[in-house]
This record gives sequence, C-alpha cells and structure tokens, in this order.
Amino acid sequence: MQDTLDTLRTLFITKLKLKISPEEIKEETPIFGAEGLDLDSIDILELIVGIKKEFGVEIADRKIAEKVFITIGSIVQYIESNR
Amino acid sequence: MARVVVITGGSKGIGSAICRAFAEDGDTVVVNYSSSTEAAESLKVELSGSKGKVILEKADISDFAAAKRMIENIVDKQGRIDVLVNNAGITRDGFLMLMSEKDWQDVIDVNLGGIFNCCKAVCEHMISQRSGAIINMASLSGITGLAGQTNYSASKGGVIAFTKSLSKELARFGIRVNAVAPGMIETEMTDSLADEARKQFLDNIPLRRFGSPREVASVVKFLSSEGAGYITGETINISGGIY
Repeated sequence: MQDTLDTLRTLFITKLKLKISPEEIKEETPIFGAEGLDLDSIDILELIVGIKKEFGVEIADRKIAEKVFITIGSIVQYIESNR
Repeated sequence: MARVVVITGGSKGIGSAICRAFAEDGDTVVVNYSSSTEAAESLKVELSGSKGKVILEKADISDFAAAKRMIENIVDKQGRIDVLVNNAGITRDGFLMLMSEKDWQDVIDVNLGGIFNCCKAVCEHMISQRSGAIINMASLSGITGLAGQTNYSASKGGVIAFTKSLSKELARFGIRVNAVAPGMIETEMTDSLADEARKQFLDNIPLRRFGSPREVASVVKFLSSEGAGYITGETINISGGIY
C-alpha cells in the first residue's frame, strides 16, 4: 500500500511536473478542484499511461476512470486490487 | 406548393425546431424518431394546428434495412420525398484512451452510417423525380475538432466530406446536397452546463451567445429552398463566428 502510494506520488510529481513535495500528496487529496491537485481531465491521460507503465494496470474505460480518479486513495485502491 | 420533408431524429432539440420550421410553411413533415416516442407524439400534437401535415415514422436509421423500409414507406404513402434532413445524431464523449469500441462504433453508425443509409434509400426516388434537396447535420466539432469527441468529430468531418462527394454525384439530376455545421446551440446539453463552463464557452464565441435551434432550422430551410438553388456540396457554419 505504502509502496504504491510512494510510487504514485513520484509519478504525479514527475509526469505532471507538480511543484509540491511528495508529502503534500495524501490519500485523501482530491485529484480535481482547487482543494486538491487541481488537475484537468487531460492530465488524467498522462496518469493512465504512467500507471500502466509503472504498475501494469490498465484503465481503458471512461466509467472506470470516473470512479478511479477521485482521490489519490481511490487510485491506490484500484491499483492494489487490479495489479 | 407543399413539399414532403423527412427529418431524421426530428422529435427533439434541433430536429424538432427543423420540423416546426417546415410545418409552419405548410409542408408535409415526416418526423423520424427511434426511441423518443413520447417526444415525437407531443411534437405531433403541438404542430397539429400548423399549416403543414405531420407524420411520425419510427425507425432506427443506423439499421440499413430499417432506413430503407422507412423511405419506401414514405414514398408509398406520400408519393414523393422533396427534402431529406439527416439530423439524427448521438454523442458518446470521452477521451480516445478511455473510449470503448462500442462508443466509437455507435457514434459512427448513427451519425455517418445513418446518413449513408437514408441517402442511399432516397437517391433513386429523387433521381426519378429529377429534383430534391438533402441537408446533412454536421457540426463545428467536425471542422475544428474537440477534445473528448474523436468519435463525434470524425463522424461529423465524415459528413462534410460525404456531402461534397454526394453533391457531385447527384448534381446532374437536379438534386442538391448540403450540410450545416452548428456550434454551441441552446439545447438540453447547454442547459445543464455549470455557470463557469458556460462562461468559458461564451468567452470563446465572437457573438457572445449560444445559438438557438430555430437559427439552425432557418438555415436548413433556406438550403432546401429555391433561393439556395445554386448551392450544393456546401457546409454552412452556424457557430456565432467560430471557425
């Protein structure tokens, strides 16, 4: 779980060039909106590619993506249960 | 003289505005619909007081045989088809990476396949008549492209190219084939936009407002008229100034 979270943090920061420290990305951090990482929907495509490369977990369906990309924790959960 | 006008996907949104526009002029309007029975019936009631006659035709135009049956049925009963408005269309938006094969195929089958099916079925009748007008519903998305609409924009871009080619095939028979490409039009979809998204869209439209279905219908009606007699193969943008 922690490994997944750490790898995901790195992924977010490197792929999306976020100017924040890994510790600021918490499980409960929302993906969208100013309260969270404030990503837009195109950013998600970058993450989908990164998640597949890093964890071998494919997200190729819009409905699944809508459920997965809510918070960091929901992404971690999906990766854990599908890798 | 009253014309027989077939409008696919005519029961709702832009389609119903097109039906209204032709019915007001006294034309016989054949409203095709697939699943929106209630909307189609209520449109028929609404237009019962208009000058034109309104006929409902339920058919899934993405089905080749069903589209052919519908066109044959109309010609049998009405004797002719003067105008075909290929309006029926669907969206299944999503980024390509998240788009299912079904969402791709459904959009292509209805938006582009439906036009092929209806045009193919109506061609022989219009050729025999030596007259006719076909107006296809394209979209600004088919010209500019829009993220999240690879399926829709491909289908609509296809409609524009289809329109050009078919216009060249049918011109010698006195049949004109044109398209309209609406931008942001006030429909259920724009009604549901959040204020911020609405503002963002409006900021990008030179005329600073969404179009109305009626403004699309008037262009469709113009393209079907004698006034547009020298226009064929054309796509008219109805986009408030976006190109």
